Amino acid sequence: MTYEHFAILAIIAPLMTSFLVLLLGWFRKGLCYPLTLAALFVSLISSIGILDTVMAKGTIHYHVGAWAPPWGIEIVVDYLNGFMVVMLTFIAFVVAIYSKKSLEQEIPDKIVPYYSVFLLFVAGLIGITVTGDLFNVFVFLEIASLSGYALIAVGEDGAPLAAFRYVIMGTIGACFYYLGVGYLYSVTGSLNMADLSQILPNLYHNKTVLVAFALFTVGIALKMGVFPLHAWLPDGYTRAPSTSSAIIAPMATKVMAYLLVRIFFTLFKPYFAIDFIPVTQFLTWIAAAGIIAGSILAIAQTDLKRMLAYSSVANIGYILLGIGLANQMGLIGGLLHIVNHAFMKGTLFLVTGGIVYKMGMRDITQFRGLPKKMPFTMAAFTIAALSMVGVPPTCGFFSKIYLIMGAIDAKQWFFIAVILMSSLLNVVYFFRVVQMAFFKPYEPAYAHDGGDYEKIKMDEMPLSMLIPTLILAAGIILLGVFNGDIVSNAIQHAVPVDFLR
Amino acid sequence: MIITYEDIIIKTLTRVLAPFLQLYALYVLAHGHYSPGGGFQGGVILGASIILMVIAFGLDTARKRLTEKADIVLLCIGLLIYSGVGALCLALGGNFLDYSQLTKILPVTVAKARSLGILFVETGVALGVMAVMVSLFYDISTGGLPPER
Amino acid sequence: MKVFALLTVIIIGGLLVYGAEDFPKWGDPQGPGSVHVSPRYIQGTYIETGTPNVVTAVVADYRGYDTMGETVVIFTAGVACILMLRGKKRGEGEGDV
Repeated sequence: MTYEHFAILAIIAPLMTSFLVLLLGWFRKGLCYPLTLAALFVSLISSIGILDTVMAKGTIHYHVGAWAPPWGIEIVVDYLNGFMVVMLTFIAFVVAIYSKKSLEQEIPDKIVPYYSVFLLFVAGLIGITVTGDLFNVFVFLEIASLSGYALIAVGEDGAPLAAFRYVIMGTIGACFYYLGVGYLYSVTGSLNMADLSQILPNLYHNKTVLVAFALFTVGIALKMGVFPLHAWLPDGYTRAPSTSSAIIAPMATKVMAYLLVRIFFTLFKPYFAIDFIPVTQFLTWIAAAGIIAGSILAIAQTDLKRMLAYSSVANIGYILLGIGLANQMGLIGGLLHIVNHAFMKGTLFLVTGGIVYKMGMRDITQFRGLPKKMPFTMAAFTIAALSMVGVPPTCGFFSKIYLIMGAIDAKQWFFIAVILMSSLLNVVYFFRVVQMAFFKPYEPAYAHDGGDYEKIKMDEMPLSMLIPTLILAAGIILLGVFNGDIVSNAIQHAVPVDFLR
Repeated sequence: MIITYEDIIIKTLTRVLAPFLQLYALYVLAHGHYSPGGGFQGGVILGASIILMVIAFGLDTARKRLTEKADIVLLCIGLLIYSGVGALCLALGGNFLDYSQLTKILPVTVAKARSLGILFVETGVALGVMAVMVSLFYDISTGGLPPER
Repeated sequence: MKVFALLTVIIIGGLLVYGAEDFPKWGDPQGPGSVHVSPRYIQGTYIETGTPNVVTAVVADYRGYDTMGETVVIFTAGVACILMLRGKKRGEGEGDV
């Protein structure tokens, strides 16, 4: 067996297991959880194999059905999507371990189809990430979106409505993307990304290509939740079950960010987006607006989940800023922030899920006395919060540093101010939670279960939920400590070569 | 909720029509190699024949004939046929969905193996599409409630 | 709000029409869609896949991976519906059907 087969194995393991889960789960409910874990473990191992192969031998080209591109579909893995896939499968695996208890409490009757949809969601996102074919992206985008809507819709009251808004916005986004693919096909006759990037430079003055580019940008921005188009995001993340928020928040929007990078800098040559039509300039301003607006809106929330959702809007802004700065440091910062933010948001949503599991509430004002009751959970929360703010040993610091260096390289002093400003705003909204939990004098009236402070006993969430949370929290610190290695071994090579200007 | 009318014309016609519909579905499926048609179209016609039965005989009768569980089994089998053929090619040493690998287990030429591979996956598609149509129809018309017993 | 929606529709419609200006001619045998990948499909289908119908061969063989994805999309729709609607017991929640 050659190592190239890992590329397809990472997709079909969760995909085929999702059929098996539905088939076998209907007869024996207990099989769902181990099957899901096994599939995601296989996927994780193969994605590590992919990254390893890429680092050792260079880009993987896998021809599905043995048809050479542009006639057949090609799976292409290079540094850019290699590390994305490892991140996706790792977080999916960790969240899957976590999911069992939480789901048994929240939707006990729907576990079988839930795991099936969960696996489809993961498979869809991996499919988008590894493919080298524009239309294939759309197909897997559909799988990931449809299952994402369903994952949100099974949540608490109001979840179906939130999911419905997501359906409308997401469908418009996917539709724009699809139109873009159609427009490009009509003038080039090809769907393969590598092939297209060879054909397109002769057609940069073609109006159809310009419109296709605009449609790609808007469509992906919609699905990514970029600031003025983010309306679906907070409600969706808030109403979804804990597991769904924990899987959708770190993964869905990041994959879209990856797709944006792929289209901007691989499908089109970097100079097209940077100089030919200066769309990256425009995106940086949108990103700056999103960073500030998301942070301010997050301050206004008392619901922890909603606060995290708005913070996601702000963090999408960081990633977009990195893409928009369009120089080496900036893009490294953006790509690093994709990984970092996935870990941070994953941890935060897992912590929230644990608090909801134990307390049945997530109102920040009632967090007093929580550190005594759930010390490990709150420790994980504090690590993630420090990282969101950007305190040195954690990973959040490093992506911000790269972004600031990118802004310096681009001589855009304003964005440095924006990044520093938003760090301050992050301090405000995260430390408000920390302060509420740790430093406010304990008052029974504001506590979740009343009673005296002395009577509160340690009552952590179950180990199957706690350990994944702590793994992700440890990941935040490890990503920070080893960030130099990650950048020099993987992310640096993901930046296009003709990018230094 | 679907209300049943005791109408002898509809019931008799359905009884006569259903087998021909299903036969035609198989024709469309198998003849996809030579004319317009294939898995999706065949599956839709197959599903329509069952939905016709629901309309004529009522939900409860239909759900005794094709229970929701059986429908889900068909759905998963359909999808497993498609991805299973792909995985089989992978297991035989080729790339995913490389039907030419089927020559290793079937006594045919490469072109014929690819033709057969297409037929296999189209069958899977047809089963899957049929089961999804019926499943969606059941779910939406009953709101997901199990049948009365 | 309505004005805003109307404006959006007009702008996007205008954009699509603007982009359509540089389309190749309708049914042009020299258009990019006809000369880049199509010849291989048209000439090679019967020899390579033993299937006279080009559409079937492209859908289920050359781009079979996409078709598997499309089938999975349909599967996802079915399972999503099962996930959202089923799992209730008779008697509860019948009102909101």
